[in-house]
Amino acid sequence: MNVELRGVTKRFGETTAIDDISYAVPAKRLVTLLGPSGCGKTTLLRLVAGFAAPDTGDVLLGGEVITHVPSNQRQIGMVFQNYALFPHMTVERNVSFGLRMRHAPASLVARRTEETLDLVGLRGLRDRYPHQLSGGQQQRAALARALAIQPRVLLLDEPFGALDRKLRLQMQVDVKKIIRQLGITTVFVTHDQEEAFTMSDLIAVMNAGRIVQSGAPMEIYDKPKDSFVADFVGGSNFIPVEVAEVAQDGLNLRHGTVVFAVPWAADMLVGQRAVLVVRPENLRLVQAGQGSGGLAATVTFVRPIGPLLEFEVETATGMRLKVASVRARDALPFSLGDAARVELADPQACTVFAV
Amino acid sequence: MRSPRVGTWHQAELAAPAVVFLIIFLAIPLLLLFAFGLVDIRAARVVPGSWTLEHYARILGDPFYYRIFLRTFWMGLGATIFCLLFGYPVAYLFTRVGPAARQVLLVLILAPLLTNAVVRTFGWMIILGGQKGLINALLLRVGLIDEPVRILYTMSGVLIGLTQIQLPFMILPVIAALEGQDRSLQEAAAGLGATWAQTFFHVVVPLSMPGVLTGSALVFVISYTNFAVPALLGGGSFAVIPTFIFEQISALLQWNNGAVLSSLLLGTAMVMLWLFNRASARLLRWTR
Amino acid sequence: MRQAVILGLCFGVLGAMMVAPPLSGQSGEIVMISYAGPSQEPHRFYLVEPFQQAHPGLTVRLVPDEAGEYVARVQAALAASRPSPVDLAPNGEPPHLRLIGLGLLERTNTDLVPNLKLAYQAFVEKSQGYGVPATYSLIGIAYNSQKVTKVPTSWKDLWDPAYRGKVGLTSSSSNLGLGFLVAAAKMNGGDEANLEPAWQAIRSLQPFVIAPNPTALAQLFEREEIVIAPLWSTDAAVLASKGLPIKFVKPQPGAIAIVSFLSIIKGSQFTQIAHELLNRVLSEEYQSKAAAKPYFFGPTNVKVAVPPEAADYIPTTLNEIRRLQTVNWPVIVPVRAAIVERWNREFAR
Ligand SMILES: Nc1ncnc2c1ncn2[C@@H]1O[C@H](COP(=O)(O)OP(=O)(O)OP(=O)(O)O)[C@@H](O)[C@H]1O
Ligand SMILES: [Mg+2]
Repeated sequence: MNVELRGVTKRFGETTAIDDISYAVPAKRLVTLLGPSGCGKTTLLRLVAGFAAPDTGDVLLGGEVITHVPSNQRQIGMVFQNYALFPHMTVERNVSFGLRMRHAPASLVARRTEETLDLVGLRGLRDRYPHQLSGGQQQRAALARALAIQPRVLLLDEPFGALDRKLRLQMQVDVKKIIRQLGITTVFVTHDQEEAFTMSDLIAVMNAGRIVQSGAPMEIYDKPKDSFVADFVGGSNFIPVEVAEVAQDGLNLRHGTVVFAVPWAADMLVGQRAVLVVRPENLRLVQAGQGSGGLAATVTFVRPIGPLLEFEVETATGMRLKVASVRARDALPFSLGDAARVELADPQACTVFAV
Repeated sequence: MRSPRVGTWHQAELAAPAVVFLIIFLAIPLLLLFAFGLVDIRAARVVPGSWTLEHYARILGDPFYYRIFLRTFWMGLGATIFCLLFGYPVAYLFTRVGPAARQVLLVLILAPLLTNAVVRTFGWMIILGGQKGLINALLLRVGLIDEPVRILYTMSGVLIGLTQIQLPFMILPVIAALEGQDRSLQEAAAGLGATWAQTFFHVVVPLSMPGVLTGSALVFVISYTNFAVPALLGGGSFAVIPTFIFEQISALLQWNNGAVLSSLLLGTAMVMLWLFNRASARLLRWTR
Repeated sequence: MRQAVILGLCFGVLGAMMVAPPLSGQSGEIVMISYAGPSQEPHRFYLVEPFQQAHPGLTVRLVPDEAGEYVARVQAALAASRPSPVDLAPNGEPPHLRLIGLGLLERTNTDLVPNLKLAYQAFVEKSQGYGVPATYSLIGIAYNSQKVTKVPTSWKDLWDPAYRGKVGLTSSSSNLGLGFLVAAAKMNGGDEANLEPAWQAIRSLQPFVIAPNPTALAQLFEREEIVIAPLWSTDAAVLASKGLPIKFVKPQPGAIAIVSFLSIIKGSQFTQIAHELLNRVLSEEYQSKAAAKPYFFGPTNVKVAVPPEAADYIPTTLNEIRRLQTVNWPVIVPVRAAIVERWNREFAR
């Protein structure tokens, strides 16, 4: 069932937590709200769940306005940031809670609880209290509890935030599979972009109470709409440039004495100031003596992370850049203090924003 | 990091004054009290070498005292139930209101602990006493009764008095338990379809049980052993063990009876506390 | 190390507090038991105040205690070889006899109490050489004249069905209760040695209201919890003086008179100077004030005349005095504990 926000604003005193958001979550899709801490993600979920009411605007569920429907009549499942499992109930009682409160027949309660426990793999731990569970198990219990009521929409608020990295990756896959299997409309909140990419059909990037860009994950990554998205999603280098030449099939952008040629047209004037946005993996380090062009730089930090090598370099113009490359076996071509040149690997994959 | 052994030693050292204090001012007097029931005491003087079980036997063999112990038990239980009934909503209200209202509520909650006994007794007389008492006046006005009912010098009067002064001991632990509750649990319940009442009875109340049980144990023990309230509001010949002990010692100089009854009062209170704790532990399995 | 010092200090101070004699002995404070409520006023205004003026540096602290609660404390102090926490106390005849038996009263040095010569000798004899007969009061019937239209004349009137549930009593651990018990026995063919008829009669008086002490019983009149009760003449007089519609009658076959003796307690550190208080309590000055409105304590000094307005509360004529009932207390006092126990078993709720 699709969820829609129409012109929704929510203020807490001076702070505007949600600033006039209009957005539709398509049915049966998993949409991730991605944004920095405090940008309003939790608040948005709470508005959908009915734990808070918007100051203006409407919340719709399946085309029906539910802005003033109390939360206990919305049939929306929510997994809280801290799980919010009932500590005085066993896993089984937690999972069956929603059904029992709805006075579902005992046989149905038993069957559905059983199924849901199986789905999340907690059958063996049904008689444990929450404090007797590991973080991942608590997470599954919280998910099962939300799923047991067969919610029309599932809301997940940073569900993996408290888990260690390995478990987090595992849970991402597991949960994604379960959600896909059930085909349930899901809004997922995270500030971790890798997690967003793993989980989402669609990503909505939030900043300061607004949704600044939404779309498929790769689209967000490849075509960030502004420098905030470019920076927040994937991280980018921002190279200040001046438009040197505008041609039919490309631009020449100058940074100091170096000119970058990008092969696509843009609506810009010669002499205009702009930033060239380049992903770290789209920069290449070359030995200082070899070839020509690019920016002269010194390696200031080397970070070998498994299959990748990340460098931090400082250019002669005083800019810090991040460069990432696939690590060739046993090779560590540059070390701290080496002189190097920085080149664009694929000019096609850059973005230019006017400033 | 400090090794556990060192930590324990330091803790023991810190607790030493308290332990010594407890031994001198609690353990020894208690043992003495118990022992006083096992010897003959004449004119407040222990008759040397007069060890006897006769005093315990006399009282334990008398059904009259069983009845009074039972009454005392009901008095404690009644006060506990009323404190819970009246205290819980106040505690709940406290956790729901803003800071200004909290200040006011806190003063009201603590007021019984701050007024002195004379003022309180006078207040009770005005509220409970006779045809002119506030309660009777109110009930008559509302039309619930046609004739004034006697409250002063009855069990009802005693329970009202006990409830009033014991309320803070119930309210404060319950507030602590309610305040410690994660609000998102109530939202979770609502999100799962629970109504306000369902959330209250299935989530809020069970989670406040640690506070309720602490408060109940406190109120019960303080009421079970309370002397002042039954003495003032129960009238003459109000038979509960604490007033009985007082009469035995101060009016009749029956030091032996007083000692035996005191020991039994204390002993039964401890046993009941112990049983209560065991029962609570079962109820609170879910806590860490 | 420092902890040890602090600990040592604490125990030092505590120890000193326990061993040191009570401060009252040194600061010159005499502790005297008195009545509760307004009945205490004669002690305060006409005994203590003049005494303190005569002895600057000495103070007398009045402690209200109607049930003889101080006795246990005195006994405990004496058993521990400490000075008595109480120096003087007024006692009605029953506790007076009891305290003599327990050895808790100091014999009176008649040389120090010249006013004894002015006291009725019959009363002085009753004191058995301990304390002085300070006043006497009557146990009669007090009633609310607005609620009780038929003026009671006899103890029997308490049993009038019209007052069911509105009769007040005190338990027989008080002199008032004990006196009433004896009156009830005599009225029903019993006596001090045969109280069974009294138990029967009081049982048939149920339901009644039991007050913890006479002052509380008087308060019950104020709050209209009760309309009729056996009461001290002095308490009834105080109620009437407050403008309450409370009247007092000396019922047939006669009110019970109980003498109150002011005595020095064994173990007092002020036995010498306390005799002056005994002497003052017998003085014409004190006696006439205590016998006046609104207290109406019966005077024990032959020179003090009963004021006319006291007629309702104190016998004024010889005839009346003859009709007063006296109780053979030496028979009752030894079995008091048993009586109280019986009372509890019968009526404790
Ligand atoms: N109940 C509240 N009262 C006042 N301010 C609030 C309240 N709830 C949220 N806010 C404010 O609204 C803004 C958005 O908060 P929100 O919790 O939605 O952020 P978030 O995106 O979920 O952050 P995080 O990733 O840290 O969980 C914040 O500035 C926050 O301080
Ligand atoms: Mg959040």
